[in-house]
Amino acid sequence: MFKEIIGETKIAPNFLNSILTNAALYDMFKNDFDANAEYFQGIDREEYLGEMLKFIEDALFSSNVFHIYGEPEDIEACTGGKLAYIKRFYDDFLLEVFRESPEKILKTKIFKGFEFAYKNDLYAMRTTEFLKLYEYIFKTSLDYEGIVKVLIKEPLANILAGETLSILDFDILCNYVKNNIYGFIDMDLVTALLHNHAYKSNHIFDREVTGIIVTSTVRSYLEEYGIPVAVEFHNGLDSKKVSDHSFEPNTIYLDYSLIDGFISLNYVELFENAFMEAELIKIHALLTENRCDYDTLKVLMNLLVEKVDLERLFVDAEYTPQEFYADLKASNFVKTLRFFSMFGVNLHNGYITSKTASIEVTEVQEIQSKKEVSLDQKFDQVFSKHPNRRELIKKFAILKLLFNQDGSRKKTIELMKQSKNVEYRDTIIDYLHSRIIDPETMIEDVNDLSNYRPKDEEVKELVTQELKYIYVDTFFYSLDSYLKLYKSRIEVEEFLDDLLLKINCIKDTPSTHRFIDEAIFTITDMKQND
Amino acid sequence: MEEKKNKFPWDTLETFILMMPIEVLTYHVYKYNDKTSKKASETDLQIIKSYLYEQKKEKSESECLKR
Repeated sequence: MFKEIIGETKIAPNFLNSILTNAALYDMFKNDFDANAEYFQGIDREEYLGEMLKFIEDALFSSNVFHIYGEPEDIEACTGGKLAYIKRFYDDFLLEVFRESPEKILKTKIFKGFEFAYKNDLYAMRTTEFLKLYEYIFKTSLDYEGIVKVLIKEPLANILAGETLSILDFDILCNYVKNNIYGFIDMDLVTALLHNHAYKSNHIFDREVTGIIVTSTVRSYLEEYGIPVAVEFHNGLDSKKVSDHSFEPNTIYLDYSLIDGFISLNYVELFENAFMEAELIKIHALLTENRCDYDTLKVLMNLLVEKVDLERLFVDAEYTPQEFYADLKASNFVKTLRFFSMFGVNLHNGYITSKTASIEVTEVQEIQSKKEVSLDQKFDQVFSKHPNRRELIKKFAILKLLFNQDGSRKKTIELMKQSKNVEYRDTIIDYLHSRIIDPETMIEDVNDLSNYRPKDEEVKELVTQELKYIYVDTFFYSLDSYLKLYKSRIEVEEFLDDLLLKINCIKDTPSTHRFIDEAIFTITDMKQND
Repeated sequence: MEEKKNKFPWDTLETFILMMPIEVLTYHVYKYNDKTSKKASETDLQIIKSYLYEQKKEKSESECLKR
């Protein structure tokens, strides 16, 4: 009991190794332990078993076979025969325990270790020996996936339904988080666990669970952009920093103090730092890969709006564009709070109240925040005056797709023609749906697109869609003018809600034209009855 | 083992522009309190004040309506 609490053992790793690999010693341990108690230093058999399991678990996470030799030069040669010792221990001591008490499957890292070794080729996974053992552990000896599904079914259903979990169910979920073979968990479980952590006082995580929750979150976020990332936790990362990152391979470093802060109910700091490092990795990856997609366009637009020198960013360690980083930090903070609000944890009010108590509230002239202006509009203003815009267009594939060599935006008809190339189609669609265009461009687009007869059926469909959106946008310009004119005489909000409902019902159907006619009729009718 | 799919709506977390007033307010409060960013603090303060004033006005109007 005391040994468990202090977590120390007198058993040397090389002795454990000897027991596992020496046939006579192993036989003695297995069959004549009590008769040889003195040889085994008077230590409990259970303690030996616990330490041997830990020894094997550790060994599976490292190509340093059995963790006492140093890194092997030839994995295959070094692995040869070693796996048989693991199988023997598994068969003799573990399998029966798992069959009798299946919940113990979630309390060991041996399965996670096998999956890790397989994915990272730590034990020469290509060899028949490894594959045979892998198949045996997960399929032949027991139905691992089937058992885990049954074990977590009820606790998972309960937590996802927002029901209160018993401590037992909460423990099962936490063990699943720590020891599941993927090394991460789905975002629906992440958000349910975080919601529970915030509202149920007895559902407090330990460091390991918190680490996997935050790792799963940034992994899922960057996966959205196809960017792989690893997350590492350290003690006393840096005297000034609690988080950091490196590129190639993309790694986020977080200080354990952030996790401890989270466990003490400071929810924001850990995720704020993790998201910030993830954002920098995302910007770096999108720019260096020079992708021709909408995400890269948004990142580029933002960097150019913030007047960042793209030649120096991530290259020159001395270059730290303060305004850009200040905006990124603040935007990232908002993102973190929005993340929490997505699963019902509202942190805005508390934050604002705590930070604005000393500010005297008086009537002041209203200033529009630059964060309320669309990125597209801000970018237009900056890019049209940018001294290096031609070079930028040449350098970045996405700008080349959307801009002419002289720096002007390509006309919609040109983009439609480019969308014949399937590689660019989705990016062009995203761009067309996001941009804000003036009424003059709309008229020009209607003229161009109405006369365009593409052979490709999908481009034809895209042209039809674009025309519909232009008609709807045109209608809204007219509606906006109408509302300004009659603002004092109609219930604007109610009216707009009704219109919004109608638009959402039919905006993507062939009845768009009819919708506009009908909406104009509704307005005229209201005007007459007002 | 089969990889799991990513279903979380990450695109809704984009903060290049902010539509919700409370988020605009949070953004400027954060910037105002950020010691590393001094340049925009006066503008931030003005925006914070105008938002807080609007909030206060709305609150007192709704209390009047309740009465």
